[in-house]
Amino acid sequence: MEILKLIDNWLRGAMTTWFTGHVPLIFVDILAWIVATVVILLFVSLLALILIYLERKVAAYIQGRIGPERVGPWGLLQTVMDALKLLEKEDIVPAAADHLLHTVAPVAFFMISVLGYLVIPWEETVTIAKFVDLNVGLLYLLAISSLAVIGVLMGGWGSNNKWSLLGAMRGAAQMISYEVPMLLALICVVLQAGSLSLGVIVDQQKAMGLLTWNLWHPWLWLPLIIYLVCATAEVNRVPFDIPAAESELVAGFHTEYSGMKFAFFFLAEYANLFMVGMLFATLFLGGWASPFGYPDPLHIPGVLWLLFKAMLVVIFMMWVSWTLPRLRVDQLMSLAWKLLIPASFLSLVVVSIVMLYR
Amino acid sequence: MRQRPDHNPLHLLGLICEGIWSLLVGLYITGLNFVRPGVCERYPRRDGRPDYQPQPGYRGDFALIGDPERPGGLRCIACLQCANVCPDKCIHIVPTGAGKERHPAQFLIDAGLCQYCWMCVEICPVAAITMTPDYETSTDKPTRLIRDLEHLQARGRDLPEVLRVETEGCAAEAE
Repeated sequence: MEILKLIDNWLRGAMTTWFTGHVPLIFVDILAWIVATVVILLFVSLLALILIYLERKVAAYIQGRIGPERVGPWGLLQTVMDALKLLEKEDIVPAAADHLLHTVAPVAFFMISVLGYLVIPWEETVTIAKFVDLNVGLLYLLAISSLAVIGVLMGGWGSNNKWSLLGAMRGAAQMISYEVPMLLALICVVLQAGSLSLGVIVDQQKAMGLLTWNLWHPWLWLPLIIYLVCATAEVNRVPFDIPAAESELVAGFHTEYSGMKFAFFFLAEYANLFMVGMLFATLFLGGWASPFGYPDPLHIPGVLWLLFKAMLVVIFMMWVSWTLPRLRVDQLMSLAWKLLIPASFLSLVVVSIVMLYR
Repeated sequence: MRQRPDHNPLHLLGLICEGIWSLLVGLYITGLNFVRPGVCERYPRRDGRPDYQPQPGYRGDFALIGDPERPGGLRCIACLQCANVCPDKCIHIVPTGAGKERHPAQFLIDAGLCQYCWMCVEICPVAAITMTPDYETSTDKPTRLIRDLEHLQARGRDLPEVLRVETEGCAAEAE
């Protein structure tokens, strides 16, 4: 993300020389924010394209198929063509739908999913949010991720369709239920680090590379598993894809969406997925820090390490998705309330005791 | 009130272990399949290897087997049995000549109607009609799916020897 800093510096310099005395400085700030926003939106869109391609390939290989391989080299352009196809499609709004809600929902869902990217430390002391580390980053992230329910509910309610509404209600119930154990599991990591800042959490893991990752603390293993399960549920992936259960609800809350609106939901889904991967990498796998010690002996930028680790986590989640069947609604709820929440309380107590006597 | 089994903590622990174990087994199986080569046949081929050959017994495009000693150069005696037995009525024959000289002047098969049931091949008394393993028959116009005499004759000329023998065996069995 050095490049972001560079662009920002250049813009500020250029703007102040061009417009000295003509415009207030706030406009320069606003322009810099717009540029940063465009960069991150582009990044998320490109990432989603890559992830969709990856998902299709992983699914194909697991099922003994080949996957996309005709459009472009190794089928790399398949998702690009799909996106173009979606752009061309007619934008259908059901006659009885709530027009405003139906239109706003995909945008809201997408925006909320992108907001999370602001606080991830890409490199030492660099996040998108004004290039400094937010000291309550984790809290902010949890707040943002629970906002995603609003997009789902808006879409489901605004479509005026029974499948959409059922999917949205299920989605809301599921996301709110899994929020609780996820939060409790992440508090364990906060206890370990003594800070809510993601930058500080990474700083504490970077010293000896691979060896000082949070992954190696036995008392964090239970929270790790709980977080992974809850995060899978949070981003509505199989085996927790109950809000969009194809065999039951057509496509759940985005049944009535077509064209670019549907693409926004799709994009946001994969943006969320990668967000989970990055957060997992940041909390347990040392984030941007190199696994070979600090400073990095290979001189690879921290961003690449972060993306690499996040990609591994995402591939693992895809692997699990294409292995397990979908849970029933009651199984989903009993898993969250009867198993994960007691387990997360237990791990909270264990980590507290460990921190007290360490 | 009777306790439900999943309220028993020991039973619950057993369920959790069972679940984790089944997840690991599942991951092992899918992981194994991930690294195995796929079973798909690419069509059309682009990697230079020969085209896909269907399994024996595949019913593709039709053919009329030739016979140079007969008028019209075909075995077919235009007896119309195939046209009558066809459940889809997709065969149309215009016979010409009388007695031993009888042969088709035109022979039309509408591949769009055909269900490839093999009944015409079974009923043919002289083993004249058969189906080839050729699967590349799709076109963008329905009228192009109607096979005429010329086409059927050409297909008959390229017919593999194995299929000719098989068709004759089939005819002999029917008799």
